[in-house]
Amino acid sequence: MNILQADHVSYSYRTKYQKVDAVRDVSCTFEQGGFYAIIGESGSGKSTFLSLLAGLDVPSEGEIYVQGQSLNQMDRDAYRLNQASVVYQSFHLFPLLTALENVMLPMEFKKIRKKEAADRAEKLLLRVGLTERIFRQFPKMMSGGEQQRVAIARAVAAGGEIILADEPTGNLDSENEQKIVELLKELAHEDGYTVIVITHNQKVAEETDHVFRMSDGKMEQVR
Amino acid sequence: MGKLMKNSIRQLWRMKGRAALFFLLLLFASGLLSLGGGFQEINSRNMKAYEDSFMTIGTVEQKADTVQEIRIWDAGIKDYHLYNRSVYNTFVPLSVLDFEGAGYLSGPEKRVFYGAYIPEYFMYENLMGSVVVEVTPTEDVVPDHPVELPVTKVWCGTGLWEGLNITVCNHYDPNPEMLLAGHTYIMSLQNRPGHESEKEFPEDEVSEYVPGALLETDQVGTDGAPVEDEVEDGTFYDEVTEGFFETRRGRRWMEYLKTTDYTKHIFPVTGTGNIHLMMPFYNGEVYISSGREFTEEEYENGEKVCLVSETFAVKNGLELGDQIRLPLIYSNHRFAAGARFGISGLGVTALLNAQGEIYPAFEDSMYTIVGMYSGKVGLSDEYGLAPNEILIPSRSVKNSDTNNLVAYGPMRGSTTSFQIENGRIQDFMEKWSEQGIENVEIVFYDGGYTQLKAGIDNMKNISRILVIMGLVLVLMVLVYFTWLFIIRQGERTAIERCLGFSRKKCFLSLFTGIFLLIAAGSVCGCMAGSALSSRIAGSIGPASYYDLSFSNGRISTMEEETEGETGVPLDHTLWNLCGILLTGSLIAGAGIWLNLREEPMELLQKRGE
Repeated sequence: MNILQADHVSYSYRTKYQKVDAVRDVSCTFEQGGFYAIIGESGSGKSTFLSLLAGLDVPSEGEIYVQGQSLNQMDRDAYRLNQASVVYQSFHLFPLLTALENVMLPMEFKKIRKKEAADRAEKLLLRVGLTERIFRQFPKMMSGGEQQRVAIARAVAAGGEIILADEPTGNLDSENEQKIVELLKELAHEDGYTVIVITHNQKVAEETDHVFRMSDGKMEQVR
Repeated sequence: MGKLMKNSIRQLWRMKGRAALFFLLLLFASGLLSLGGGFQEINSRNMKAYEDSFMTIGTVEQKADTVQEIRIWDAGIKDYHLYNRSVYNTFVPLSVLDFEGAGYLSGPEKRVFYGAYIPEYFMYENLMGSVVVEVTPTEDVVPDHPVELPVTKVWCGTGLWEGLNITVCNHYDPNPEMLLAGHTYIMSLQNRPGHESEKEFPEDEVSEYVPGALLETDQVGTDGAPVEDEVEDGTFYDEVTEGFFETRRGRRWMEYLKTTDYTKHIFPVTGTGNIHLMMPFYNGEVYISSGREFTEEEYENGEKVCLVSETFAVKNGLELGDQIRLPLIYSNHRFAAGARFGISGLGVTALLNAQGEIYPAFEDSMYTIVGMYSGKVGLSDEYGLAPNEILIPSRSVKNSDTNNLVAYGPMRGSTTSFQIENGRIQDFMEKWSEQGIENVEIVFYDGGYTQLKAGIDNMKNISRILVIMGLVLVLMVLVYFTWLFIIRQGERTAIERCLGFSRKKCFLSLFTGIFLLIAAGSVCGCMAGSALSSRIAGSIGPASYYDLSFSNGRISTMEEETEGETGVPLDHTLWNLCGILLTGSLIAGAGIWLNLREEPMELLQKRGE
C-alpha cells in the first residue's frame, strides 16, 4: 500500500550569500512495511528531504502525499504526532527525563493515561532490546546504542506508521549499528512500519529493501 | 494543560540546583525591589503628610519712594516730635506679581478689610476717654497749656457732667487760638494721662483732655488721593452760636455724634482667598478651633460663609451654622485690620464720607458661620488679627466699594502674600529678578522647609537606589535564567516540535514551569521585602525622618494623623508582584518566541549538511 509519496518535490532556501537548491524535482513512493534507505554524500539534500517528509519544512514546489492526502492540507504537527516519527543521529532525547519518561511523553500528550502509558513504554523499551535497568536512567547515563533504542521506542510509542530515521547509526559502533538496523528492519517487516533511513553507510543501505541515492538535490532509485 | 505543566515542572525539578538558585536570587531581587518600593511608598506617604504641614508663603511690600519728615507739636515739652512718613509716588499694582513661571499655589492677593456695621453686637462697649462736650470759658484763655474750662453740656462721654471743670490743652497746636470768655464751644476731646509727654509716670500726674477725633473724612479715591471734604476745616472745636446746628458745620457735628455710637458696632471683616496666607494662621498663632476652614469651592465661588473668633461667638451666643448679617460700610485697601483696631478693638477710622454722612453699606449680606478660630488676636500688630475680626472669602464681596474707600495704599507685607510650592523659593526669586522690579520686596516664610529638604531628599534617594537596584537585579535574574531555562533549551523545543507538539503546546511546556518558579520567588520576595520595609520604617519612625524643630504648630496634628502609618499597603505589594510576574512572563515569553521562531531542523543544526 502506498503510504507516502513525493511528487516533483523541490526545496530551496537562501543563505547569506546564495540561493541553495537542496532538493530538485524529487519524485518517489514509499510502501507500508517497506524498509528504505536514502543514501548520498554530505550536502546532497537527503536530510532536507527527510524534513520535508516529516512535515518540518514545506516544499517550494511539488507535493507530498500521505496515504493519498496532500501534506499541505494537513495539520503537520498532528501528522508528526500521530503518523510520522523522526529518529536522529544525535538521538535528541530529553536530557532531563528518564528513558521511561522519554518514551511516555508522546503518549501523555496524546492524553493516554499515565499508568497505561507507563506500561506501554516499558513494553516498548523491552521490545527494542533494553532491560529494566535502563528505565530510570537519564540519557547521559546511557550508551549511544541505548539512547538510540530509546529514541526508536519513543518514535514507535507515538503510534504512527512511518519512522523517519536520520543517520540513526551515525554515532554508533558497528555492533550497535547492526543491532539498530536489525531493529528497524523488524519494525518494518514484522510490525508494518514504513521505515525510511537516511544514511551514507553502504552497509546499512544494503540491509534495506529499497535504496534511493541523492546527489546534488536530485534523487534516483538504485535498488 | 495539566500534563504540560507537570512535565514542565518535572524538567525544572531535575535542575534542582539551578532552580533553587533562580528561586533564591529572584527572592532576593524582588525582596530588594519590594523593600525599596515599600520604603518609597512609606516615605512618600509620610512626605506628603509633612509636605502638607509645611507651606511656603511670600509677603510683598512696596518700598517707599521717599521719606517725608512730619513734625507734631507737643505742648508738654514745648517742642516738636519728629516722625517719618513713607511717601509713594505711585502704587505698584498687584499684577506685577503675575509673571511667567511664578507657579503660585495660592494668590497672590492683596487683602482688603471692611468695616461692617452690626448694631446687634458690640465690638467696643465703652468709648473710654472720647468725649464731645460744650464748654464755656469764664475768662479768655489760650489753651497752649492745660486750662480749666467749665462743662456746660455733655453730648457724649462718660464720667462728665455739666458744671464740672475739665482740663483742656490744645496739645498739638503750637499757636492755638484764644477761647473767649462767655462763648460756648463744642469740642471733640480725648482724655489722656499726664501733660508732660516725656514723663512716663509723673508723680503729680495731671489728667487732661486733648483734641480728639477730627470731623473730617478719610475717604479716598481709587488712586489713593483724599476726596475733598466740603465742610471740614481741620479743627476739633467750633463756637456754638444761635442756629449753629442748622449750618452745614453744625449738621456735621450732629452726624459725627451719631458715629460715636456706630463705632461701638464696627467689626473688621477681611476677605481672603486662603486664610493661611495671613500670618497668624500661617504661623499657627491662630487656628481653627471648631468647625472648618473654607473649602476650595467656597473660595472659588465666593460663598457667603465666614469664620468668627470663638470669643465673639461665645459672647454673643453664636454657633456653627448660624447666620450673621454683615453690612459693609467702608473698605480699607491700605492696612490690615490688626493695625487699625488695636488691642481694645476700637477702630480709628472716621465713619463720615466726603459729604459728611455716615457711609452707607455697599454690600449687605447674611453670612453663615462655618468655623471659629482661637489664638492670639488683638495684639495691635499689623500682621496680627484684630479682636473679633471676621474672615470671609474675598470673592463673596460682589459690589463695588469705590465710594466707600477709607484708605488706599501700596502692597504691604501684612496685606499682600502668596503661596508657592515648597522648595521653590530660589527658582521663584530667579524668575522674579528677571522682571526688573526693584521697589518691591518679597520676604519668604517656609517654616524651615528649605533646611529640612536636604534630609527629605536623602530619604528619597535611598529609596530610589533600592528600587533601582532591585529592578536591575530582578531584570538580570529574569534575563539570565530565561536564557538558562529557555534559550538554552532550544533543543528541547525542537524535539517537542519534531514529536508533533504544536507551537502553543511547546510554549506552554516551557512557560508553565518557569512561570511557577517566578511566581514562587517573587511572591516570597515581595512579601518579605514588604514586611521588612514596614518593620524598618516602624523602628525608625516617621519622626526620625524630619527634624521637627523648624516646624510650626500644625506638625503636632500631623504627627497624630500619620502615627502608625508605617506599613506598606497590600495593593502596593501586589502591584510590585504583578509587575515582576508580568516582566518575567514577557521575558520568558520572548525567549520562548525566539526558540519557536526557529525551525526545528535549524535548532537541531541539521540544515545545510
